[in-house]
Amino acid sequence: MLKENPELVLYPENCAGMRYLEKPLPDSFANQDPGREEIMAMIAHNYLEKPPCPRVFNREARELYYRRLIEEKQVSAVIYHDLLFCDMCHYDYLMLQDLLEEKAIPHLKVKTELGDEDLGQLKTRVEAFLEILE
Amino acid sequence: MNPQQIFKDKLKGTLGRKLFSSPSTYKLAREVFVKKNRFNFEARRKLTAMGLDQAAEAYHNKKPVAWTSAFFPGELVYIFDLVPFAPEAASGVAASMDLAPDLLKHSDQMGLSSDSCSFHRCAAAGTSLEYFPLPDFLLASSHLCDGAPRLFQYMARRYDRPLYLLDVPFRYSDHALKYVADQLAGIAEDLEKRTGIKLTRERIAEVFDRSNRARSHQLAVSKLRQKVPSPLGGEEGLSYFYLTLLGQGHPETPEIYRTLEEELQKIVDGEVENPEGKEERFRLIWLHLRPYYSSEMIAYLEKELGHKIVAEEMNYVYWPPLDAGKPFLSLAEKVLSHPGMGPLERRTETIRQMVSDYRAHGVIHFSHWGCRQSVGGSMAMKKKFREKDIPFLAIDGDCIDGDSFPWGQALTRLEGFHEVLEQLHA
Repeated sequence: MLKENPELVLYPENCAGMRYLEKPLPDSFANQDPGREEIMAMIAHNYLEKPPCPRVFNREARELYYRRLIEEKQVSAVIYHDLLFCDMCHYDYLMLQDLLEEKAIPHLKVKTELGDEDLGQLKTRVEAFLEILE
Repeated sequence: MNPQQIFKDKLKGTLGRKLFSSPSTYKLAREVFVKKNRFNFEARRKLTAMGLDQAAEAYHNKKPVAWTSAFFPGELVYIFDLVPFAPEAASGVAASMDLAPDLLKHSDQMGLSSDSCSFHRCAAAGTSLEYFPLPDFLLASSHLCDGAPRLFQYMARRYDRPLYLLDVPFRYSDHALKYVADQLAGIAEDLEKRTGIKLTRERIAEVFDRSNRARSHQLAVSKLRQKVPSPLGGEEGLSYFYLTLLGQGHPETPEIYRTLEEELQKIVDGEVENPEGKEERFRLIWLHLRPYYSSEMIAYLEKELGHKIVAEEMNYVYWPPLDAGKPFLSLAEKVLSHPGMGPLERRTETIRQMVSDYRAHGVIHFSHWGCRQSVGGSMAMKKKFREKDIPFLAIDGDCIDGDSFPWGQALTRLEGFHEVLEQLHA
């Protein structure tokens, strides 16, 4: 839905989004034919060095990451997907909410279970939000 | 009019917040409820007095207040002479005072999600609306409860307070023991600097001694409850969970358990009548907690249906005595010993053993909405207990939000469970 709108530049900051690509692997992992141990090291490096996800208990790092993203990507609006029953998302949102209010960045929180049943309602809310932004 | 009802009505008025957060309120409540009320057990009177005294202290601003999550080792709080405050306990009290609906509405406005635990939502709203005291420190443990450390993290940021997070590994091992012990030592070192209270052997020994004496009496109480008929039911039994939350290391805790032990011994010996009555149509183990906005569910189970809750999971003594000679390793062992940690089999086996020890006929799991650690495994537990022919009822509900789960549905489930037990034991 959002991708269909050519005027929107999207930056997906979520569990399956850009977070894993934020930090490139260092040159020391440049081997074209890595062995098993090297592959494991690359995976471990990626997990430890990528920006903290809401699961990690490091609120300062998470907040700094959000602040950096807002600045670097010149974020003008945020759609926050609050996954039903995910406490990590729920509490992460509270911190982000404060930050977005501080920066006067409009935001929309949508709550779904990742299924299709909410799609209709979701579409309406997102469309309304985009109209407000315009 | 009932003084409790008068008190509840006053809390909702414009002066409500001031009343709730005034130490004088708790001193007055002590006079009215503790001295004048009739209690079935003297131990309960002492417990109520202790709770009111702690609440008064928390609002008095004379000593630093430490918010503690449910499973954080409380002894550390008493070693540094902090006033412990458990937001979950406060939410329970707010629910019993009919404040929860307004607090939960406010939590929605704050942006908290309605599928998070209502204990935590209520606590966040209660603090925002100045019903609950602001913490000077926040002490959270990562084990079992995912929500509490996150709530504490949010509160630490919102109110700019130091947060101490104990990271507890999933499995018990020597490495895990050392990891947790080192963190506890680090927390203690920092608390020493911030409070100015020296961590001495004598101080540790004093607090550990209280905790160990309480443990000893608590075990004795558990043993007495294994008798048939059991001298203590769940309505009363569940209230002593307060001591697990906030009393471990408090000077009154061993005294309360000792009093309870003596009172139960007299009932078992036939010296006094059981004020709760002797009837126990079926003996049950109760898992997790209960609705705090109403005692209807437990009363229906125990008074109408004639069952008796002979043991509660939350009162189970799972830890060995503390050793003041190696305090942090000892506390780490306590933390890692919780049967809810690690594979589900650990919890299931503990409950199964309780069923055997207490000669219980069945198990009821109160599935509190939003409690992932408890509810997550309940269906798997049910399956396991079915294989062992132990009736298991998982009843959906909410400990704090009375509006979410209609009583009618719960009633039907309890009646159905009763029929199952009747048929099995016909």
